[in-house]
Amino acid sequence: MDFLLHERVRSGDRSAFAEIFDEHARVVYAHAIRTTGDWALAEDVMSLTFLEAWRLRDKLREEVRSVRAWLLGIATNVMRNITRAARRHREAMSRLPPPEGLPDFSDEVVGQLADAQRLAAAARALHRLKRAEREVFTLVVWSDLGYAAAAEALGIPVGTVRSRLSRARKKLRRLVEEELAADSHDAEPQTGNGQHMSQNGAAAPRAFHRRSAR
Amino acid sequence: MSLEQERSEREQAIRILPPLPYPEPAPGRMEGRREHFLSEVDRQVRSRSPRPALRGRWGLVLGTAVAAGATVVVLGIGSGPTDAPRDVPPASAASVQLLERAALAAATTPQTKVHAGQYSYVKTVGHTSVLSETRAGEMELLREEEDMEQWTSVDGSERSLQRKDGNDTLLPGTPGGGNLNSPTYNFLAALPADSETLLKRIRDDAEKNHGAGSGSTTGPDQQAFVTIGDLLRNGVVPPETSAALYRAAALIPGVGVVPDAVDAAGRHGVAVTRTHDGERIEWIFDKSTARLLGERTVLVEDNAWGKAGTAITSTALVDSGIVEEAGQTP
Repeated sequence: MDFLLHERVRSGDRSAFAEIFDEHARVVYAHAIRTTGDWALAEDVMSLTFLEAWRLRDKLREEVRSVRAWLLGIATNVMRNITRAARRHREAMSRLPPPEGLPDFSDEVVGQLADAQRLAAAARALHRLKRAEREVFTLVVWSDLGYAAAAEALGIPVGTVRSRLSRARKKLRRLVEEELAADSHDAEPQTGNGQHMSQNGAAAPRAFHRRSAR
Repeated sequence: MSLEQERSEREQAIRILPPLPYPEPAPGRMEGRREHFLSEVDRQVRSRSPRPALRGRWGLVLGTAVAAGATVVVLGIGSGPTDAPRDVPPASAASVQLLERAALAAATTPQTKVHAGQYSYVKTVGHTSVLSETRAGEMELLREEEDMEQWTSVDGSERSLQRKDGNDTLLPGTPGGGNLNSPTYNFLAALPADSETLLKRIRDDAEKNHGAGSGSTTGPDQQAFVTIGDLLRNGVVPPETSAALYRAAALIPGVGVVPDAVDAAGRHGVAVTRTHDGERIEWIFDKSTARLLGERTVLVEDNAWGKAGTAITSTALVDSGIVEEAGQTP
C-alpha cells in the first residue's frame, strides 16, 4: 500500500478510512451480493466489513499488502458467521439510519429483475459447495483476486487455493445446470427477503429464502 | 505453477459461473452506509489533543473528526455548542496576568539563528486515551503511552522523522512550508507578531472547521485554544511568535487558571485552562520562570472516559532545540 495511506492509517486517521471506503466499498458490496444473493444482507455485510476493518486497522501497518484482498478476507469472515460479527458491532449496527426508499425489485427494470434471479440461482448453487471451496471460488473468480492474494485474504497456502478452486469448478459445473433448470419453473425473484438487521434486530443470515408469490 | 497456468485455470472457472451483474444500490444508500461507518469511527477515536505525534497534513481532518467524535462519545453530557459567547466570560484577570508573564519570558529568550536544512527537535513524554470497541462489543478505555522524539525540517523541505519506542518513522512532508496544523519553524516565524491579528487568523481557520454549519460542536473559541496549545508544544517556537501566541490566548473568552497542576513528567506548575464539554485543558507553566512545561486534559465530571479528575491526555515537553540533522539531539 502506498506510504501515505499506510502512515495515515497508522495514526488512526479517519480520512484514510474514508478513502478506503470510497475506493473499495463497491467491491465489497459486489462480493457480498454475489455470495449471498441478497442485497439487504449484502449492505449489512459491507457495513460490518468496514467496522471490522477499522477494529483491525493495526494490521494495515505491516501485514497487509493489498487493501482490497484484506477487505475481501474480512468480508469472507463476516459472512462465515454474520451473527457473531453483528453481535460484536451490535451497538454500531443499531445506529444504522432507518432504511428509506428500499429498492423493490418488482418495480425495477426487467434487466435488474433478471439479474436478481440469476444472482440468486448462482448463489444457491454456490451454497451447495463446501464453505472452503465457495470462499475460494467467489474470491478468485468473481472478485478477481489472484491465487496469492486469495491465499493472503484467507490465510491459507497458495496450493490450497488452487486445489479448492479445482474441486469447486468440477462440482459447480453440475450444480449450476441443476439450479438453472429448477429456476425455470419458478419465476419469482430470489433475492432474499430484503430485510436489514436494523429492521428486525436479529442478525441471522436470511439469504436464499424462497418467497411465496406476492 | 506458472502465472500462465493460473490464468488458464481461472478462465475455465469463470466460464462455469461468471460474475453476474447485480442490482446497483441506489446512490443515497451507499452514501448512507458511508456516513454511518465514518460516524462510528468518530465515536471510537479519541486522541483529541493533536499531539506533535499526530501532526501531518491530515492533522486538521483528524482534529475535526476527533472533536466531533469526542462530543458524541461523552454521551448525554453536553450535546450543544457550549461556546455561545453569551455565557462565556472573558479570560480571567489571573489568566491574563500569567499569560503576559509567559509572553515576556518567551520574548526575552535569545533568538536562535536558523537556516535552511536544519531541523526543529522536540522530545515529549506522556499518554493519551483511546476508547475502542472490544471483541465482545464493549467499549474499553485504553491508555497509550506517547513518549516520542520528532525532528521537523525548519522549512518543510524534508520529511519529519519521528522516533517512538526506538522505531523511526518518516512522516509525510509539509507542502508549502507548513500551516497551522502542520507548522514548521519558518511558518511559525512568519506568523503575525500582533496578538489580535494572530488570533483572527487562527479563529478564521477554526471557524471554517468548527464554526456554525460545520457540524462541529467544539466551537471556534475552544478550537483556537487547542490550536495555540498545539503550536506552543511544537518544539522550537520563535520568541516573538511565542509571545504573540500567549497574548492571543489571553483574548479568548473562557480562559482561566488553576493554581496547581502536574505535567506528564511529574513537574508541578500553575496552569492556564479552558473548560469545554466536561473537560479542562491545562497548559502547565513553571511557577518561577513562566516557561511552558506541558499540557494535559482533565475530566471535570465523570463520563465514559473516567472519573472527574482523570487526566485523559498529558504531554510534557522534555527537550527541544535546533539541530543540523534529523536524529541528532541538541
